[in-house]
Amino acid sequence: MAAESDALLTQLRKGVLEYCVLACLRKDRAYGLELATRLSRYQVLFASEGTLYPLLSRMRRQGWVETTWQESTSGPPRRYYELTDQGRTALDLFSRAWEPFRQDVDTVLEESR
Amino acid sequence: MTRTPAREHPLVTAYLTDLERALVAADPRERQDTLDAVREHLTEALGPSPSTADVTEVLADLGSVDVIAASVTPAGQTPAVALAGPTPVPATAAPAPGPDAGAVVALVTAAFALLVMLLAPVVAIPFALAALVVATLRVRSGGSRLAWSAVVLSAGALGVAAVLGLALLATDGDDDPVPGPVHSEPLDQG
Repeated sequence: MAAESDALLTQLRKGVLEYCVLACLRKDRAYGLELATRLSRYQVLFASEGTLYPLLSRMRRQGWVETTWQESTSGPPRRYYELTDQGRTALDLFSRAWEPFRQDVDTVLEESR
Repeated sequence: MTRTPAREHPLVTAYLTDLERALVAADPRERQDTLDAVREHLTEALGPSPSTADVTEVLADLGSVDVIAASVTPAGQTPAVALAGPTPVPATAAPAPGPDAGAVVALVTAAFALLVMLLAPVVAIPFALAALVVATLRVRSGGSRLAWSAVVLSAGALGVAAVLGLALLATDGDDDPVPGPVHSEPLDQG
């Protein structure tokens, strides 16, 4: 049952998680650990911090985020992730689609009870 | 308690070695990006001299290397289409597109029309017209060379029909008296 639940969550995260990463970067850029810490508050959405990095790599190649290095006062330089205009557009599109999508899912589930 | 620099801690080196191995079949660029980012994450999270308890906790939060490996794009797949995770590769490749069936039918029909044009033009002309229409439609929808051939052949058949028709008219004209010029009444100008 737990395995089935994990598989279901994995499926549900697909197509959603990258937009949540974009949303976390909407207001401000962040370095990897900082972003992972922000996302780890959402335990259903975000299974493990390590899976963030392949996702960020794909998002960078997609042109949705870009990276810059900056010196840190407490250690080695940090790689900061930042939204591009393309990423912002993708996030806006997702935000507009998400609400009616969520409402439909809720309605279907509610009506079938 | 003995403290070891983060990157030299045996648990960290073992984790990174396992991760490198687990990502061996990943898209090369994604693999390198992931390894670099995880190293940066560990350096940042562990500080200069973490305890084993710190390391254990940070590695647990990162998750098992198998879970990370399951989320990468396999080598050879396009990352853009697998943005939220790798998409399974279809078991069989898509079949290669076959010959353009419409163009083949038009070509055969046009050839038939051309062959029977001399024997029975009344039968051949509708076939040639049909072939021309079908072939033209195929050409307009990005048709193949076959479709173009069908257009040429069917147009050729219709050209032969036109020549035959003109010849027939000329023959008929030799037999029949040439009609005189038609005189029309001048328009009443006033």
